[in-house]
Amino acid sequence: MSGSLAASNLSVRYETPGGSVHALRHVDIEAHPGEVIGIVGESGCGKSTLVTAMANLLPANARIDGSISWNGIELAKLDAHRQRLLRGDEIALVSQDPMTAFNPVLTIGDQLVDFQHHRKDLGRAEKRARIAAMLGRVGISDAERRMHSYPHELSGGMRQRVAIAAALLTDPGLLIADEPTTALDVTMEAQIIHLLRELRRDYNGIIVIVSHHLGVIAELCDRVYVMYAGEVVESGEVDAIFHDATHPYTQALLACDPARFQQKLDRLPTIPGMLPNLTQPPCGCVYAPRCDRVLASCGTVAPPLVELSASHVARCHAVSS
Amino acid sequence: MLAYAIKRIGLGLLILVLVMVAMYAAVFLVPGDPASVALGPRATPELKRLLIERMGLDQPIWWQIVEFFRNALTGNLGYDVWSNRPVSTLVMEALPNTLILGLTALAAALVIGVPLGCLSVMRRGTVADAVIGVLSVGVIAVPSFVVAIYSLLVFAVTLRWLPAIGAGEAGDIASQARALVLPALAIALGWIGYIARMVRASMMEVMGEPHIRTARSFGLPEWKIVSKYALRIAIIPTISLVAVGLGSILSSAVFVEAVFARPGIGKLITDAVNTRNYPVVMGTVLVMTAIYVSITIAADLLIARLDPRVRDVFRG
Repeated sequence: MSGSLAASNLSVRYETPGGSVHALRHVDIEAHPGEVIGIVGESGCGKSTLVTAMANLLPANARIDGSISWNGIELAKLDAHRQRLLRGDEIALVSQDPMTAFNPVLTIGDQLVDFQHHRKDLGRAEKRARIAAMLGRVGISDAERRMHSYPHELSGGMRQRVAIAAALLTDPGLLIADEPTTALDVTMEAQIIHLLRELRRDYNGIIVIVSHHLGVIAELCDRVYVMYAGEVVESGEVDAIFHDATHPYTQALLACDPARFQQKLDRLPTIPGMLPNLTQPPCGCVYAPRCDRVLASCGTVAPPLVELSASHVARCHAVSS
Repeated sequence: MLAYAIKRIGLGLLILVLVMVAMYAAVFLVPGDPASVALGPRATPELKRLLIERMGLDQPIWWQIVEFFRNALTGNLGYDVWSNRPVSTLVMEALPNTLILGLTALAAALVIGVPLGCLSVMRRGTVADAVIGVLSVGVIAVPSFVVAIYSLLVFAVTLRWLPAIGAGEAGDIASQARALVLPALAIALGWIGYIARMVRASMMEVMGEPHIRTARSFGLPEWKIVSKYALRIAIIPTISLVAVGLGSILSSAVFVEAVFARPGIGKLITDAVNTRNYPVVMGTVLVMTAIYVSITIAADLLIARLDPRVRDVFRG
């Protein structure tokens, strides 16, 4: 099944006793079948809120403004039951930490059978056969035996493969991988990236990959959205973002990536300052307090989206002037 | 799993021995010799000597203990000092009544308490959750002797719906069941609240875990998430609680049996202690301890069965 994903002017805020937390503000995203999009940014930038909104899993205290739609269906306007029917059928989520993503007291096979519950046309034996085939496809040997294992009997990398297999079993049109490699060590990370690259060859839905790891994004994605403090500050084709970054935040982020250092440095570079308090987002540019190219208007006027080329946009006063 | 079971059973047997040693030590330490206390101040020396010999109190204490266990292994728990009937017969007569009472109360508490706890979680933050919460704390706070006496007054004396005393006619299941309702209610009521609170608390904790989010992200229906994915983990503390609580259920059976004049183990022990009938006390305590230890072992094995992580910790 394939469809398109679109968010336009999407804002999400959490109502808390300490006030509203504006976790996501006027975000625009578009993805079409066959595309892999990356969402990158530091912790607390709203990446997880964005994918949670895509997967219809926002908590009860979240308020949504603007639009997020799958195949033209407004996700936020669906009732809880219709939302549940989309989850695990057209939209699948590979969650962040494979160590805790599975129920510890049920076998892998048992859980993966349950996760195919939307497929009423298949019997239990057929579901188990599909699981065995899919586990083989994600590189798990001895799949039949592994189905009888409990999660704690598998290594982290193996569990992440199982998590990806679980998502693929549902034939989703939208596959969301939230930090798929963050909890893994470097060797496992490389294997999972390799696996995801293999998978994208014969998958024709949309894949959304969230990471704070620039290398993962560069390896896997067609288009990248750079997020900061709940806003998309720059977006474009992967080449444009990595070779022609325009927004000062994107440039700073790239400068901090150790994999891109040209020579040995005495100190690792950092971006000075901290994320703004999202209960009271600044009225001008969110990045202004930490920006090294700040202008007079940055503190007072929210910067408009500037179109740099066909699909490359940035939200910055310094770029527009 | 087998090694784990053997280890637990061995530990259980050790506990049995220790309890009986403690019991004998207690008899040994009680001031005054049991025979004079039992027979009263005007007993003749011959009669006292006879009784002391009958109870085996003239032997060294370690010999008494060894003798007791040697006899117990052959099913002989000694003889009632007054009626000379075998203690094993007395216990076997009384035990079914008490077990039926305790197990009925426990089953009722589980059958009502666990679904109430689940309902609380599925409707968390709503009026239903609040009502269940208030009622649970309410019934926990009411002591079971109060429930026993008031339910006796209301349902047996005033409304005359249920019998007030006894265990029902022998052979008449309907009458036995009617006689069981009020005593079982007196024991179960607090446990319903206790179990509902316990299930709700551990369930709320489990519902916040990432694997529940995974189950949700695959669109599993909420009732299935609660009943299969959360309950299997959340029930584990409740099982331990119930296993430990069975001791207190059996001890509340002692006074509930007194209030409802119900024949049973509780009544047997009370009477035997009052008449210094030591063989009956020892035999009954051994049987009760054995039951208690077996239930605890059964609960441990059940937990190991439900939670594969525990199974692995004790493997080998």
